[in-house]
Formats: sequence, C-alpha cells, structure tokens
Amino acid sequence: MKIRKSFFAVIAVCFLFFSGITLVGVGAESLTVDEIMDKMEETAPDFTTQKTISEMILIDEDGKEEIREMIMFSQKGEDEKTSTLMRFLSPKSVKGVTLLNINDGEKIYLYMPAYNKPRRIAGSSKGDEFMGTGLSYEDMSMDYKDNDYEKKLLEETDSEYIIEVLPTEEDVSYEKIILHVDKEKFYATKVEFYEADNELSKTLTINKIKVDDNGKVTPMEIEFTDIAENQKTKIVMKETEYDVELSSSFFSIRTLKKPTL
Amino acid sequence: MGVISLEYKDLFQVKNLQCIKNIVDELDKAPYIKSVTSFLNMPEIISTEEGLEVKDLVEVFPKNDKEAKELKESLLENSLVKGKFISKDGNVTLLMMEFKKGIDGKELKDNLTKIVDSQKGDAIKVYYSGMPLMSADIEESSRDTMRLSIIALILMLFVLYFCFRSIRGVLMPLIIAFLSSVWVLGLVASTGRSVTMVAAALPLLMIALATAYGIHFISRYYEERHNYEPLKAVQMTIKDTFTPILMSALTTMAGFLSLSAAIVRPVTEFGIFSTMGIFFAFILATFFLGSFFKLFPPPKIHEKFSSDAKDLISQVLNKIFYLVTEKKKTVIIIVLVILIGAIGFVPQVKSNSSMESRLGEKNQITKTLNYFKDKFGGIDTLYIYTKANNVKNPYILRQIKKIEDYSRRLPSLKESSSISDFLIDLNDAMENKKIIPASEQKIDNLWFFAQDNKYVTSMVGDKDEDTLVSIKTKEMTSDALDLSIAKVREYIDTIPKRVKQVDPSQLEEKERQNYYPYLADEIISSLQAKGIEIKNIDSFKKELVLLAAQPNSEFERDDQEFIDEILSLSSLEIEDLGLSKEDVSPLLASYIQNNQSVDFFIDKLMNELNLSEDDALYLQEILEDSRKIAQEREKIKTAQLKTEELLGKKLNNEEKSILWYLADSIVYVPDDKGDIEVSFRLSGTPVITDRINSSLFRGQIRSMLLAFLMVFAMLVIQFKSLKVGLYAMIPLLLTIITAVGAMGIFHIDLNVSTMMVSSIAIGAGIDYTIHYISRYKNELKKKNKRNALKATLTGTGRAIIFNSISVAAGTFVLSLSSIKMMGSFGQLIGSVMIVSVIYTLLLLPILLDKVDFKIKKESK
Repeated sequence: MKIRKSFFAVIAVCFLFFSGITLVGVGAESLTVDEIMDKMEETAPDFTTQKTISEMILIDEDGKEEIREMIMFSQKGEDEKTSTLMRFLSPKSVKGVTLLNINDGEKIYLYMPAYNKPRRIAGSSKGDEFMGTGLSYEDMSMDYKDNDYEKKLLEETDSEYIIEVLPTEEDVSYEKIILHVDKEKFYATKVEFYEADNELSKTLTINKIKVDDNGKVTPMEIEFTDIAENQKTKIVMKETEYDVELSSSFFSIRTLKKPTL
Repeated sequence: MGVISLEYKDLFQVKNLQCIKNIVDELDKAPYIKSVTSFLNMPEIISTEEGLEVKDLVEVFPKNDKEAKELKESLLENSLVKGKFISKDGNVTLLMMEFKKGIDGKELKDNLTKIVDSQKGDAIKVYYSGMPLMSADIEESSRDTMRLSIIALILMLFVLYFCFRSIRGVLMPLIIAFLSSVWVLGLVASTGRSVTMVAAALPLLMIALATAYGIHFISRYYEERHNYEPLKAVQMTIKDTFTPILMSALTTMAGFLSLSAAIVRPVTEFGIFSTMGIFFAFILATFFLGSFFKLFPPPKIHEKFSSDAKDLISQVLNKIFYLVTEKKKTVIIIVLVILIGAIGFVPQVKSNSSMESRLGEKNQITKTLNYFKDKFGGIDTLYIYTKANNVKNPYILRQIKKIEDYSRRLPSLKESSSISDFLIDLNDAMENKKIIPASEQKIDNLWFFAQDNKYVTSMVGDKDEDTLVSIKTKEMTSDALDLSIAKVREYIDTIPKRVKQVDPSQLEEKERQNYYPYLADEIISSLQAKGIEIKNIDSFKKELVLLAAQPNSEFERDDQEFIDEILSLSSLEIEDLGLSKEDVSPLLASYIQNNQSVDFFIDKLMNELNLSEDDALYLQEILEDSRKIAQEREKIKTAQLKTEELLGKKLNNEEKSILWYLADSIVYVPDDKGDIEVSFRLSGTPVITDRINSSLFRGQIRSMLLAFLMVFAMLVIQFKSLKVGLYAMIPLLLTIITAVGAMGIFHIDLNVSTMMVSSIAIGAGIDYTIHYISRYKNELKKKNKRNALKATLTGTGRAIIFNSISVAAGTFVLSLSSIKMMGSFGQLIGSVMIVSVIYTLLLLPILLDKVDFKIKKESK
C-alpha cells in the first residue's frame, strides 16, 4: 500500500509557500465546521503565480542549526493543480539543487548541478523525507484533495476553533489531524498530525504573520516539528511576490538546468 | 558503540517485527542514545528507468505474516543486511547503537534492559554487547571477586588457627590485613578512580600478603615467650623482627613498584596501590602489634612454639633440617630436575589477551561474544578512524575504499563498511559509475540526496571532520589477526596523506599531460588494492596515460547503438518537450552519420518536429551533452577492454569501474603543501588487545628486571655482602622459572593479570629469604652453624610455612572468581607461594653454608 499524505498535511505546507488568508469578519454566532473551512478557503489569496524567497532553518535534536536559503515559484493550473519549482541558493554544498514538481506531484524531478542531468524521483519515494528537511516529497508537492476527509468541530475557545479532521480514504499516512483555527483571522495557527495509535507525530505552527494593505494574511514564519525525530524545520519568508510573470514552459525540465531563474 | 541482539523462534512474524520496531523507536527516543541502526532503517538505493530513490530498506511495515515472510526473503538476499543485521537463519537481529559520551556503563545497561524487557515480546534470547555494556558486566564480575575476599578471610581464619592455636594469633594478622586494605581502598576512592578489574583483586591480595608481617611478628613473639617474660619478649621480638619486616616490606614494595613501570594502565595502578598497602601493613605489623602485645600479653603460649615441639610442622621442619645437612646432593639433584622440567615448559606459555582467555568460557561476556560469533561470524570490529578537514573529499573517500578493498583480502578480516561504499552505490545509481566521483560537488549533491538516512548520517561526525571505516574481524584476538592489523597499518603508510587538487580543464593541453600519470597511479593502486596483479606496471601505466590523453571524441561511433545511447541519455528532456525518442532518432542519426552542421541540424529539428527555434536549440544542446557522455562511455569501455587484454584477466564490474578514473575532472596530486590532508588511525578492541599483547612482554621484562635489581641492591646493602645478595636471588629466580613452567603445563595464558605473578613472586617470595637470612645471621652470633641452622629452620621456618599456607589459602580462593583471569592469577600466586617456600627452605641453608658471615660470637 502506498502511503499518501492527506489534505491537511498539505494545507500545512501550502502555508509555507503560497498561502495568504483573507481577513474575514466574524459574527458572534457560532459557525459550523464547513463554514469555518469555507472561510479558510475563501481566504486563499487570488493569484495564479507566486515567487518567494525564504530561509529554511533545520534544527536537529542537539539544537544544531543549518540554514538553507531557497527560491520557489509556484503556479496554479486550470484544474487547480499546482506546479512548483524550488531551488536552493545557499549554502554552497546545496546551491543549485532544484526540485520540480508538476501538477501536484504527478511528476517530480530533481536536478543536481554537479551531475548536469535531471533525474526523476521514483514514485514510491514520494512519501520519503526530502533532503533532511523533515518534510516529505509529498509535503513539498502539495498533493491533496479536499473530498476525502471527515471533519468535526471539537472545541471552541475564546480565540480559536479546534477542528478534528479524519481522512476517510484508507490510503493515507495520518490517522487524524487537529487544526487550531484563529477565530478572528481564520488561519490555522497550529496543525497537529497524528499517526497510527493516535500518536502525535508532527506539528506545524505559524509563528508570525503579515497582514497586507488588502487585508490579506501571509505567514512569515512557520515552524514544523517532527516529534519522532526530534527535529525542527523553521521557514522564514523573506520575500513574497504574487502574480509574477512566468513563461508557459517555466515548469519544465529545461528550467531546472537554467543557471538563473 | 553498543549492540543488542534479539532472537525469536520466528522473527519474521508481524508481532515480533512490531516488537523490534517498538524497541528501536523507544531507543531512538532515549536521551543517552545518539543513533540506532537496525535492518529497519538501512538505506537502499533504487535506480529504475523511471528515476532514482534512496529509501529505508523496510519502507512499508509488513501487514501480515505473509508479507513478513516476503520481507525476510528479500532481506536475506541483501548483502548489507544478511549476516550483519540479521543472522543467516533469519531469526536473530542486531540493533546497533551509538551512545552519547559520558554515560556510565551500568546505568546504560539498566536503562537498555528496561526498554528491551518491556517490549521484547516472545524473544527467546537477548544479548548486550559493546564496550560500555561489557564494562558493566566486568564491573559486576569484579564485585563478585570482592565478595570472594570474605571467603578468603574465613579460610585464613581456619589456617591461622591451625597455626597459632590462639584467638590472638588468628585475629591480629587479619586485623593488620583488614586495616591496610581499608586504607588502600580509601586511597583508591580518594583519587576518584573507579574500581577496575585489577583493583578489585587488591583487598584480597592485601589480606594474603599483609598477614605475613603479622604472622612473622606473632610467631616470633610466641617463640620468645618460651624464653622471656611478656615485656622482654615484646622487646626482643621488635629488636629482631623490625629490620627483616622493614626489609621485606621494602622489597615487596619494590616488586610492586616495578609493576608501575608496566605500560598497561590497570597494571600500573595495581602496582602503585599494592605498594602503598604493603607500607601500611608494615607500619601496623610493627608499631601496632608491638603496642598490642605490650598491653594485652597472652597468658599462655602453645607448646609448639618451643624449639623441641613435636607437632606436624615441627616434624616437617626437622625432616628439612635432615635433608639440608645430610642429603645436600639429593636435594640439589631434585631441585635441578624440577627446574629443567619447568624450563622445558616455558616455551609453551602463550600470550593471549582475548576476552575468552581472560574471562573464561563460562563468563557472561564470553558467552555473548561466542553467541555473536556463532550467529554473525564475529562481532569484533576493526575501526579505521579517518580524520580530515572534510572527509567527504573524493580523494579521501577513494583512499578509504582502497583500504577496505585491501583489508578485505587479509585472512583474519571480513567484510567492511564505510561511507564510501554507500556513495559509490549512489553514484552508480546517478550516472552508472561504480566509483567515487572525482568532483567534490558531486559528492555534495549525493550527500544532500541521502542525508535523511540515519544510517548514513551517523557514519560521518560533526562538521564532516571524521568518519569510521569498520571492518569485521573473524576473531577477537590472535596472532593472525595481529599480523593482518600490521598489514593494514603498512598499507595505510603507503597512502599519500597530503594532496592538492588540480583541475586539468583549466590548463593548456601540454601542461595537462603532466597530470595523467597521477590518474594512472590511482587506477593502478586501486586495482592492486582489489588484489589484481599487474605484471608490467610501467607499460600498463604508459597505456593508461595514452588513453587519458586521447580526446573523447575519437571514441565516437556512428552506429544505431550509439545513437540510441544518446537518445536514452536525453529521454527525460525529449519527453518533456512532448516528443518521443523515435521522433528524434532519424534526425540525430543523420546529423552524426553524415557529419552535418549544427545549424542544419537545428533547422531539421524545427522543421520536422515542429519545434520553436528556442526549443530546437535547447534540444540540440541536450543531445550534444548526451553525446559527450556517450563518447566518454565509449572511451572507458575501450580502456576496460584494453586493461583486460594487458592484464590477461577478465575484470568484474567493480574492477572495470576503476577505469572511469580516466575521465576524472579533478586530479589529486601528492603534495607536502597540499590543502587536503588526511590521517587514519586504527582502533577497536582488536587493536587494543594487539597493543596490550605486545606491551605485555615489554612490560613484563621491564618490571621483572627492575624488581630483580631493586631487591638485589637492597639485600646487598642489608647484609653488606655481594655473595649473600646473589644467593638470596637464586630461590627467587627458580620460583619464577617454575611458575612460568607451571603456566606452560597447565595452559594458563600470559595476560595482564598472570604477568604480574612474576613480580609478585619476587615481592612476596623475597620475604622468606630476608626473614630466613636475618634470623640465621642473628643465630650465628650465639650458636655454631649447625645449631643456628636448626634454630632458624624451626623458628623462622615455622613462620614462613604459616605465612605460605595462609597466603596460598587466601589466593586460592581467587580461583573461584567468575573472571578467569583472576582465577588463574589466584592459582598461580598460591602455587608460587608454596614453591617459593620449598626452594627457600631447601636451597638457602645449603647456599648459606658456603658463606662466611664473619660474625663475632656473643658470649653467653
């Protein structure tokens, strides 16, 4: 059986790269789960392409940090499938390593500059961790559908909604996901991923956000914790640009080799 | 490093595998463990038409027993796992742990046991191994040895009572021993040292040796009491015994102190602590006993202390007196026969520091080691600790590979593993070259791709400054292994430790020529490391240099096979453009076969495949890149065939791959000022035991010589006679020879512990001599030779025998120790004490008879 990450594993990651959330006024009346979800969906910013430059800080169990800078382009296709291209800018040892993900992970290619030839990442390793980041290839690929999960409002506190999401499809790697949604701004402040036996395996928190002139929320610092491995990945956004112009063949193998993007 | 092995009746059942997984998970979380490696997280590189991946060997946990059985079959086909992480029968699995520094062995083991016991399920056997865990076991055994002290004590109580027939006579020597032991142990503790295996034997040894002074004192006091009233007896005793006790203490101390010259640390410590202990015992035996008998004189003394006693020991002593006065020749002949016999067995003594020899086959550690040997063909590992600024440098990785290849062929060494092996496999998956690529960037890229795998990352230290190459050894220690280790050392010595990096593409062709010989050298040495014999190295090297200089383009072919290779190398990009290989093939064939111009080819691509100019340019570029790769492949293929022809031998895949070095983009040149520097250090138990084995003999000889010299010097000073000094050494020398001969007869191996026997024999055996000569000299002042001899034999001779049997009784208890080394140590010391008495009482009288002491007779 192939392991596949569920929808929210990916929501989490989608925050990493291109999420912005519309500020939605909230009434006093309580909302249903679907309404909350809808509001969150609504907050997704209207853009087809995005460019971000961010810093990825890998923190191991001894607290040792490794910083990698990366640039990422993403584009939503007509069928709402996303393609992304991500390249490491520093440090020297990883500079130029580029990952291309076409249509939500339909195909994933890896380009290592020293080898000069792109390689395809084989299908079954998509669930594997991506290059020591604590994130899987799939996490990176945003491969998700929103119709195979069941959700329930567990609790409503003064500041947040706590929502439980149960994947209905058998083919998933998480048994349960708990979402903490900010009541005011409707973005997930924290996502908890539970594996078999209800064991909390990963968490994702959004430490910092930015609200722009149009009232959109962009997460600026995201922290991803792999509890089992005692490993953290922090992502700090340095630059975000929406609706950048990209050529039609941008998300293709030939871009992988280009020295400048 | 530590190892846990778990054996199940049938490991590959879901529930048992789940147990293993749980244990691994728990261990992984434990704060004192740096990393855990098991078959569950071994890396596997899969290269398919589709792409490439590195994944954990057991990516998907089996759902049912059928899947578990399938997993078993696939794992038993994997050379990385079979015999390394899973026994050949598939029912025992190993978990390897790397511990954080500064963890106490006992605590560690307790914690591990707790985790394993709670999760192990139906495991039938669990074993723990690895240095920190074994030292916990050793400590445990050491405590057993200390418990033996109590038994030794009780035994000595009986012996002493048999000797003195008085409670004082029993208790006082033991109190001396007890107090001096306490003082020594307190000293060990105050220096902050832990109780090592050897230090554990120390209290027992003190009990055995320190009683001697008490025995001599009390024995003499009892003797004097037959002639004088209590206070006068104390005076006389102190007057006559102070010097011999001091002398024997000093000489014993000298003997022990000589141990401190040994190279092996525990032995050195043992020597120093024993020296202190003896000193304390001397202080107590003279001052404390003197005061005690002055304050509490025994009212009645057993009649056997009188000179005409008829008890068993007196009878023995009288017999000795008869022998040494009437049957001198017989005595000497018997002694010589024994001596020659002993010398005959001396060559049979073997030095063996193996765990089994030291601990005995019944010891838990030996059992564990034998179990691992049985299931996994040995657990001992020779490590080559590699240190450099960046161990992930291609030059260093290639040297590691050579060392591995070389080592593997040596008789006592088995398979090896290193980071090089993994990177070679990964590079093979990346670009079909089973070598370490010459470019540092490629290594970086490979590493980056693989660094989520724990097994791989745990092999390289922080900051990439060190890495371990591990080579399994067939046995724990043996002469053959020592030889193999020496060979590995020699091999490492031949490797240039400092090199610089040259990029030939930056040089003029003429200058470039200078670097091809280095490529050839690396190819030759790599092939040789793999055991390939190259008869005519010079001509082979010349051939390689020629090949290296030949441009790749000269190796191009224009057949369809070559065209297909280019297409297959470009398949991803062709597909990406929405084309198929078949679309491109005829155009490419015509381009290459007819030697068409680039522009013409681009036009063709645009027109016939409906590509934009941009796309056509791009495709042409891709195809050219692939063409270069294909040319390079042809060149290497030619080189491989040529090599086989020149060597007259078919090469296997891995050997052929070495020829890829001809295409290296970077050349590494030995240079004393080079910025790439590497050092290799051998370590691991086999190396340590090897070192102990060789230092054993040096230490042994050194400490014996030292002891001999010190004792001899002291005797000469005390008796102001060179002759007496020389004579006194004879019984000692004979004792040592006999003891070593006895080791040969009883197959007792020479090791850290038994090597001390000779030193102890000197230290303790000399006591007899000193007391004997001292008394004899005193008696001569009052009596003629014959009567002085009789008085000495029945007086001091009695004390010597008391001493020897009580010491022997005490040390023989050690033979019950669960540590075999301690056991044979005890037996040997015990025997040495008795042999020494025999030599002293039989030989000294005969020898001293030849000495003229020039003593003025005291008037009666």
